Amino acid sequence: MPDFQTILGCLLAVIIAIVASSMELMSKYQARTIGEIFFSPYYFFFVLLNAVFCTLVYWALPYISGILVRSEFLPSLENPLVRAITAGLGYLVIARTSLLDINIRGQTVGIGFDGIYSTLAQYLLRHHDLRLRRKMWEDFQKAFSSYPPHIFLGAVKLLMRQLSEYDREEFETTLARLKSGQPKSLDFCYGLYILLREYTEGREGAEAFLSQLNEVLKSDPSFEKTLREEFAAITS
Amino acid sequence: MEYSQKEVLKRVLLSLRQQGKQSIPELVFSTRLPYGVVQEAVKTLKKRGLIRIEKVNANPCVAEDASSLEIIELNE
Repeated sequence: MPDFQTILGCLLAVIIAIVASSMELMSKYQARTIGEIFFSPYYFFFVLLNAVFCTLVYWALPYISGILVRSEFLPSLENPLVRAITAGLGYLVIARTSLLDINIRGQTVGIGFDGIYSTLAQYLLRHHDLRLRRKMWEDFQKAFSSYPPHIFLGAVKLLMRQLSEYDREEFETTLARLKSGQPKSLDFCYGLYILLREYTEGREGAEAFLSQLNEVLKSDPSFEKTLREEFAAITS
Repeated sequence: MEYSQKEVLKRVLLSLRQQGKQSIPELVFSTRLPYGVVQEAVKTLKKRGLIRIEKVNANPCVAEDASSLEIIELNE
């Protein structure tokens, strides 16, 4: 039966592992809200996967420590705090270890722990991504059925004026990519909506821009006409 | 900017493999390629039988052709 200190150390290691793996997702989905990223069954299982591997490494650390740390640091591993930090930050070294690398259709697949960890992690992250995209599509459908298409272009232009110089450059580049090659009206609107979401706070943030512009256009018919013509000239 | 066809097809296929099925606007974001270039790549990949296209309707109140989004998926 493990003592209290070992359990506490293991818990700390798991927390470190969860924070580290969550930071990876936060950097990938910078434009999404916390709720969108973390309230998902796929994220839960991803966390569980990392927690299981981290616990295994924490438990096995006294036996495999030679792989993870330099020999002069080995005695320090008896300290539960050092053991927890080493397992929490170093479990991926073991999880990513493969005995053999084979190439399947141009992709390297590791046979060993890497094969198990990578397959499960990729599956979960891919479905997490699909779930976020499906949510984005559903949000767009609601917006698309509420506003005429040129409102999306107007909202994006309105947002662009409020961005910092650094963000505006990237924003304009993406907008130029979306405009190229006479996109279909729906494709262009969806692209503009994704762009809007990249720089606003969730669905509500994008909705605020769309409704704000809708109000402006109601009181300015000439601006609405210009915007409508511009939208028609861009799309096929 | 010029894009080599081989490089474009590779980027589109890689994005579909890593991130799963996507619409053309989503591919513009994930591949960082212009819409027109992605659209051409999708046509080529469809001709070669490497992908399949499924249509989803965005707004039932609008005519289907005008409001259907093409979702591109790898033929595996």
